[in-house]
Amino acid sequence: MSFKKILSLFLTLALLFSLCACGKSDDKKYIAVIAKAVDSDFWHNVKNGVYSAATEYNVTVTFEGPENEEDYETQNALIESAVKNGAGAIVLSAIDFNKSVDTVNAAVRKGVKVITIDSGLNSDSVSLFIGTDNIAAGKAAGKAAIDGFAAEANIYIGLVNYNADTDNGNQREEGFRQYINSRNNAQILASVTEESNEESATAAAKKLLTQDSRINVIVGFNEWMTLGVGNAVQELGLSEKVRAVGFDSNISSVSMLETGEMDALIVQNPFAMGYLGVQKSAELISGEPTDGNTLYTTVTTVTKENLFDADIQKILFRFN
Amino acid sequence: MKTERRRFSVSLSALSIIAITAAAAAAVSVCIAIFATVYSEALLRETKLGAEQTVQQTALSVNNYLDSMRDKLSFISSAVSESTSADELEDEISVITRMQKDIYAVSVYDGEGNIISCTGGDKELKATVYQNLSFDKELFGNAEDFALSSPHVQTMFNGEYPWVVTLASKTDSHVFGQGIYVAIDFEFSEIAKYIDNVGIGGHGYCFITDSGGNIIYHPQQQMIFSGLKTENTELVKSLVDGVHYKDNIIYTLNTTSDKLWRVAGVTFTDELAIERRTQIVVSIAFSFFCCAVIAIVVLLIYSKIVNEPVRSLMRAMKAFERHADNFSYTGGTETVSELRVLSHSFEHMAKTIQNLMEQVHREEKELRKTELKALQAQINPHFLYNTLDSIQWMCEQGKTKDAAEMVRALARLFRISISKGRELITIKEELQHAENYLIIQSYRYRNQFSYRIEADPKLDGCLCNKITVQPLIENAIYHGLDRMVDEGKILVTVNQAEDDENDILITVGDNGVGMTKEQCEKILKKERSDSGGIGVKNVNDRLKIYFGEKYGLTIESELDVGTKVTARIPKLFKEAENEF
Repeated sequence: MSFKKILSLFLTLALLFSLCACGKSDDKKYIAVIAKAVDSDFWHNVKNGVYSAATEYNVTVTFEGPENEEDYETQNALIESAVKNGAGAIVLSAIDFNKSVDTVNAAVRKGVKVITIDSGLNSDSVSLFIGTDNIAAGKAAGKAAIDGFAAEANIYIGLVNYNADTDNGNQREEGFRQYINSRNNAQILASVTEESNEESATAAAKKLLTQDSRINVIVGFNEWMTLGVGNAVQELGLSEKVRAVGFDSNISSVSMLETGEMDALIVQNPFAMGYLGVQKSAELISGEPTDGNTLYTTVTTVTKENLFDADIQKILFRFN
Repeated sequence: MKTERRRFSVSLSALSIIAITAAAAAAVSVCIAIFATVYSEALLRETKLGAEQTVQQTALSVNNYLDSMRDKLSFISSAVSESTSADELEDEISVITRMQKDIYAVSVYDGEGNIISCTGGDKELKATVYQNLSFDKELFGNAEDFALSSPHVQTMFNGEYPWVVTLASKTDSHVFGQGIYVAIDFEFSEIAKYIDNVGIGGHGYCFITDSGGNIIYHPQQQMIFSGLKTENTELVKSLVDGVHYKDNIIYTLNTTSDKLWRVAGVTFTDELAIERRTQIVVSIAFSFFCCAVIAIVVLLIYSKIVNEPVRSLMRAMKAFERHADNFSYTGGTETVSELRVLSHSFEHMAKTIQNLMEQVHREEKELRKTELKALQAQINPHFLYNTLDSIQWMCEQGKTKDAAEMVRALARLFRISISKGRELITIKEELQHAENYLIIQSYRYRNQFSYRIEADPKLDGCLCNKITVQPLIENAIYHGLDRMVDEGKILVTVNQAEDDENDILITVGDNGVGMTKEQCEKILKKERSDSGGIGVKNVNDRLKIYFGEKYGLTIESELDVGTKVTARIPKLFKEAENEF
């Protein structure tokens, strides 16, 4: 135990301490949120959640998405630029279940954590999916569609779905079909897939309703499809005859629920998706593992009857 | 013994480092413990005080806001009761609504909630209002003065569902009849202004509940609506006004003066604790760093003034242990007085020991010399008796010439033995002495041996110890030739050593029975006991004492061939005599 050894030991310790002191000051984390779209009510709510969590967890976030809900190429470009800009994590709502897989895998290989919200991606490199249990949501829609009828009534259903490559649309329809197929008095007469915007949805729904007059239930599978369905029912004056069921809510669809064109809305929790997406990303960057790889947010069935219940108000109407 | 001691040994510097570090660590720990306790208590107290003040302030603001809401309602209410026509009233209310940002709509209901009038600026009233959440008959009817609703969505206008609170009061009007209600829907923007920016501590905040504990406004309202955040409203409801500390959360409550709303402040102490912990960790790190630096400095100084002198003293002691003879040490430069004394003592001790050793050495030498002189002075009685016996016998036989020769040799032998008391004599004298001895012995051992002396004449003047050669010859006769049947031969030579020109080799060789190796060694170790004369060992010892370890006797012997004893001495001339 020579003096020099002890001296070096002390100096090493001192160095370690100073290193510890330095190590604490790191850069603010950057999380890129890439949505399917930025202009719908649903995505506004997601965005609010994202920014609330960003404030809460002291991270920098960007909220971006393509203009068009079919534009997976722009999404891929956004993913790449997020990686280039040094994002610690990417929160993605994949437009296409398959076509962003390579881009996401490349990002994950570079050490970026990826969490999907709302609609998932066909890749194991995604750390966590946060969103609606779309099968369950589809079943809830099925139940809401049938609830308005007497037990022995014949129920003929028309479906208006969107982008066939999107995971959650397909799952909702699958859940819906599972529920309907378990009923003897209900059958799906027609099903169309349209671009995800209000105009094409309205046109498709109108076509569906006029082609087959037996249809007494029509279902839209996202916010725009729902508005299309509501518009079609309103324009054709079929609010008494046709039961319209949709997903998500905005002022128009809630108004139509109030006035009777829409009969039930399956409302997701977009604020929670955005909030949890950023929260879990921040935790992942800090090295906390996720609990499982799926986190389901709540789904609520809103009808005219419960529209203004205290709890439903909170879900349906955004604060600020 | 040595290993035993080493096992328990610990170096002085290690010991001092342990001591200093332990002391520093203990001091730092105690300081931190005290600091942490005092600091955390102060922090909690301060936080509580801060929270109380903040919440009081906020409650005051909210109170003022409620008052202003009531003022607005009173104003509109009186306008309603005094107005003479519905159109005039609506115009008047429109003006007020536009001027007051937080007024979303003003409605006049009859006793059953039917809308008499509803004004909301440019907003379009629905043809049929499916459910009017702004009218609550029970609440309005039971209110003494004003009725204040819970937050709800305003549902009366097309395309808008804002969150509002409704303040209503009963009034009478000439135009609309008795027992009508005037209600104002207030937007949250003003309340939000009072609440949103209130911060208590790191992540603390305020929110408003009604007297039933339901949240009126929360800065994170949407998170609560989405089920991502919950407030323990039951607990808040059960607590009285003041500061409460529950489960690491400080709740501060203050009820507005009209008892309608309560302002609740929430502060998280675990957050404070984390902050405090990081502060403490930083201070610990800093303290330890300082301690380390101080310890190093102290140790450097300590080592300089204590360890180094101790080490050098230790090194000196070890050196002394190895070579006591040529050791020199000067102490007394140490700063620490104990060490100075120690080193002084060591210096003194070393010198004393050296002196003692010198003295012992000298005394030993003197003793040997005295011993030698005593021995030299002794006359071997047997030798003398035998010689005299021989002389007597020669005289009786009439061999007077031989007898005279023998007496002469005996006389010279004794004269050289005495040599005026000198120890060193010339080689020439020594060889004469040896020759005289040989003469005497050759008479005694008639015809039994012959001898020859071959000396380098250049070395005649060199000095050697007296009685060096005679004992070797004596040894050769008694042990080599005495028992021989054939004629023995003794050869004495004096030459310069081949390996060192400063040395002289004196050899005494015989062709006698020889000796074994053991006998050779024995002869150099054992004192002669059979007579009082000088033994071979004595010669060897004497040479070594006089000239050093390099010098002395070597014996080469082979059984039945002979023995050769070589004495190595330095080449000394008469002038050097006084050195010894």
